[in-house]
Amino acid sequence: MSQDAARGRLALEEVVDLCLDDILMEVASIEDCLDRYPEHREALEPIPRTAMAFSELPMAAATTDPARRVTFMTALQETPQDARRRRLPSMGLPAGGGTWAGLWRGALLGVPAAALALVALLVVSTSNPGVASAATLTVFAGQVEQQVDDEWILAIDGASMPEGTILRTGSASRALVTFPDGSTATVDASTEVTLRRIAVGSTRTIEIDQASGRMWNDVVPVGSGDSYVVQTPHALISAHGTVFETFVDGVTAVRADAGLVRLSARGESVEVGPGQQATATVDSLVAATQATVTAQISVDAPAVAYLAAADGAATGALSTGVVFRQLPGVSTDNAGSDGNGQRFTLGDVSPGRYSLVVERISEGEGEVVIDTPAGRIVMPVPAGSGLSSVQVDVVEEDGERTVRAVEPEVRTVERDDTPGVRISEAARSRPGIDVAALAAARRADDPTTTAATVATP
Amino acid sequence: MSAAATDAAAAAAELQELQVRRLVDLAKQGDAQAFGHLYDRFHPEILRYLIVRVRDRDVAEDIAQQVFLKGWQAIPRYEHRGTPFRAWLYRMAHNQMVDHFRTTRPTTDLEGVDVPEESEADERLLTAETNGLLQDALARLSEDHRQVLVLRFLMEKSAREIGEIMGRKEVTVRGLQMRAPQALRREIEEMGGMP
Repeated sequence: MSQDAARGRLALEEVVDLCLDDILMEVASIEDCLDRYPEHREALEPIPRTAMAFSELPMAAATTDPARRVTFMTALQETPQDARRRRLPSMGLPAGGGTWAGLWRGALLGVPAAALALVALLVVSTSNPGVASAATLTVFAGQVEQQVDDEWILAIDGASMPEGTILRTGSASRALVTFPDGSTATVDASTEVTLRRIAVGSTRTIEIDQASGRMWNDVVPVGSGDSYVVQTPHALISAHGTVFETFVDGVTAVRADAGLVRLSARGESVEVGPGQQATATVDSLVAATQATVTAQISVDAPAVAYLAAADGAATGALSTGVVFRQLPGVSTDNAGSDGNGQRFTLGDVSPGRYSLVVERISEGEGEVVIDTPAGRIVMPVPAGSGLSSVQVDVVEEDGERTVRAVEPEVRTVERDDTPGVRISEAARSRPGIDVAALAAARRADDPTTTAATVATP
Repeated sequence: MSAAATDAAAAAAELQELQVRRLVDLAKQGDAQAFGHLYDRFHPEILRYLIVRVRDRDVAEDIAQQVFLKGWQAIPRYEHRGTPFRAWLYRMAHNQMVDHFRTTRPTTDLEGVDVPEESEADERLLTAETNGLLQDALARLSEDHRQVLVLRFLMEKSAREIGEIMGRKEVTVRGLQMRAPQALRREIEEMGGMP
């Protein structure tokens, strides 16, 4: 058969599939389809006509007989299940080769958690070529535990977390999960999550079950066939490449800081846009409303900047161009007060002391502007090259949060005096800013020509 | 369907898929109640498929019970990464039905199937003749063609879903869904055509 003939046959199969879909969904008639594909009319016509005649066959009502269900459940109680495959369920080791899985299991159960995680990484990374199925854990503060064989053991900073891993944080701990595509989820204090599915290859599927607590998700934009989903006891949250928070405590609250999030529950769904929040309970879904903004900090200078908490979690950009959003309640974009620079929006951010670190990428004047409901604070960025910093406190007064500068000025600092930023390798590879282009645009002293942007989902 | 409605349907489908996944995980651990929920969710659909295929409601009911009991036994070995759970059940139903036909002859009438009542006697007769002809022609086809016709045009599954159920590539199913109605038409014409 010639190539053209083969293409022609495939084309007809495709046409038949499209036609049948439309006819079965009642969005087109048989005649509509025949008119749509006149070149195939003769060959096509008998197929949907016969198929539709067949589809008219009577279908029996098929409801479950309650008496049969009772019989079935009784039989179920008396029927033993087959033995499970020998594998390491809690570590997500693949079952491929029962003997090997059994050997691994026997060998691994007695070794420390760090070695366990390392071997899990090796097995996972070689088991399914082209598809990455493990995340990386960064422990910022306190103890983080993972469940292994129904027991909670200490999770190791930097360890690989294969899909199926169950993690929980203590009341004073915080961790970051970095997925293979560079998306991150900050797991705040008193939070339990299951990394239900991680599959990053030609498409991305990331599914997280959040049982409790607070999570801050920074999702690399989702393309066709990709998904990033958080399931809670009350709702399903789907992201399309965005920054959003999920909070579970009797209800599920979602707040989007950039991009769109869909909150679905009880057969309904609402879109949550930037700066909006929505809530789902067991019996209701509350539409999106405007979320509270505690403060905005703008760095209007030829610089990149990041805001870091005392435990090292940070949100901002580095001079290498990497952009990261690890601090719950803090997002960043490049819309400063003059349309350039870098802006931090602080929403439901935890009280405490934070360091704003500013790194110049070229000469020129600049300032840090802190806008709060109580007023505006403007501080010049020191001249010259290098690093500068100012500390700010997020405080809660009378139920309201506000931001105050600890010092009255932005001071020049040495790198050793600044809080470091911890970024996993996968997050370094995600789209960031073109710092060279930003510097060049600044040197031209024409803000409108700035070609670089902080990557905003 | 609007884009918003399509998105909402997709979100609902995602939610259902995750709920099924959670129930399967619990059932894998021996949770009978979780498997009971899976039974409630999938039994009507599997039963409907079996009624169409074996054309005897009582037999279909018995096979469906066997399918779900075997499912309970085998679920500890089920892997999410393989076949979707719904397709896994369909495969078991199909295998169980084939086992049934190995030991018994298929019925050739619509015994046990609730045929909708028609108001006119002639129309009823014509409908019964047409249905009988279609069923007889179906019985003369290959198993692949029978399965595709039933899944695609009676159960309204997509080519992708049928591929998952039959363990075939989607492109193969597209070829089958084109050739199966052609084969059915040929059989009907050999039997003297539609009444």
